[in-house]
Amino acid sequence: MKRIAKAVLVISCLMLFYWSLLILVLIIVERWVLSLPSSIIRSLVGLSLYGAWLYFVYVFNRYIFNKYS
Amino acid sequence: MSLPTWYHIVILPISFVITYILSKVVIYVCTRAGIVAVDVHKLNKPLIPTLGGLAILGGFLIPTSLLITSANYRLRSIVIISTALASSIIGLYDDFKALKGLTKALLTILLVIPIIIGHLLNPKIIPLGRPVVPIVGRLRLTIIYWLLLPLAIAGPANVINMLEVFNGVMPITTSLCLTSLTLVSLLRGKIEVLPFTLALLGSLLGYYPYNKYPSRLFTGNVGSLMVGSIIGCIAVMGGLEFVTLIALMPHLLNAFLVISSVKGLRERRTIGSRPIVIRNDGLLEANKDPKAPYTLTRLILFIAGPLTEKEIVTVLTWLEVVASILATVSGILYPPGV
Repeated sequence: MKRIAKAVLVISCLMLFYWSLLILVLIIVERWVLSLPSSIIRSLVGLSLYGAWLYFVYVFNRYIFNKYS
Repeated sequence: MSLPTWYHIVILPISFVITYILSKVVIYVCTRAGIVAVDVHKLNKPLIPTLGGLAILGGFLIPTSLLITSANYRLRSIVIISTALASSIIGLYDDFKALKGLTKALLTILLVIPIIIGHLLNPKIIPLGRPVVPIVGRLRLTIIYWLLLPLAIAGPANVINMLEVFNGVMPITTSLCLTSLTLVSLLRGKIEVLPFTLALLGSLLGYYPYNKYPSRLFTGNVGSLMVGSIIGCIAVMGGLEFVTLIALMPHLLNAFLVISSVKGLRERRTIGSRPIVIRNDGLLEANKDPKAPYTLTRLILFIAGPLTEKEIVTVLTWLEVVASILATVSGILYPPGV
């Protein structure tokens, strides 16, 4: 049971972390990035932030995987 | 005009009963026809009848096709039924002929066509664009939304298909996902997709007794692709894109791990090394081969050590419970009136 609980806890914390980070990125994009003057800069910065979140998820996943393997 | 309350109450048990009965029929027919698959995670490698997805399809289609008689639900029903049938055909072909990973992904991208046609015919009944997210409200996505839209159906279809590797995982995780979608729809007062979530939930619950450990019936690609595409369709039609994304997080994590480790979309059978190995005592453990693909299950086994198949399913179920809670919380955090 403890081993099952450990696996559930570790991966649940991971999901919670990614969810919180995504909401943070959404708030930053909507509240700050979309107030930037130029449309092209808004698109570039906004998409870069979403892309950065995705890249972070990719890198952190590999880190967690290598840590436990 | 919305549907009468009694319809929402009876649709779940009706779907349950239809799927429960059809599952028995599928077991009988597939066993007689030799349409079986190996249960690879058992020592004795039993042969299990497959194509259980056809039972789920029947349990979903029969009650939802009645909605075509309602003027308000006709277009939604036609769109969702078309998507379900199209994805079932792709899945059925994959079950018999084994499509390449990239081919399957590209075909599932085409599943967005019914929803786009539905939107063009009546944008009020099937609104697209500007998805809602927690706290912020409606996103100001324009061109990007249309570029990402094909993934809204193909994504859930493929990620659910990819995690469908253990007895009972698909029906239990997707049922939990649908429960959170149902709750959020009720909380928001947006009940247009409620008949569809309840119909699919009923079907999955009716199917679960046959698919749970130890399985007597496998879903097949026909089922997992179809269930995923219906969930994607519900997400888009009901404005539940973000909630669905979060509710399917275990599936997405798994898909992300797999795709990043095998460097692309590859069919399971073409990947040489298996992520999990079965020991002589029947326990499953993570393959230590560095060439083995990263999967969520392999990560679970690295963290927890060797587990039985039932224990792995318990972990995946609990992860889905957590994801569904996060999805429901996301729905609660939507700004009012959106």
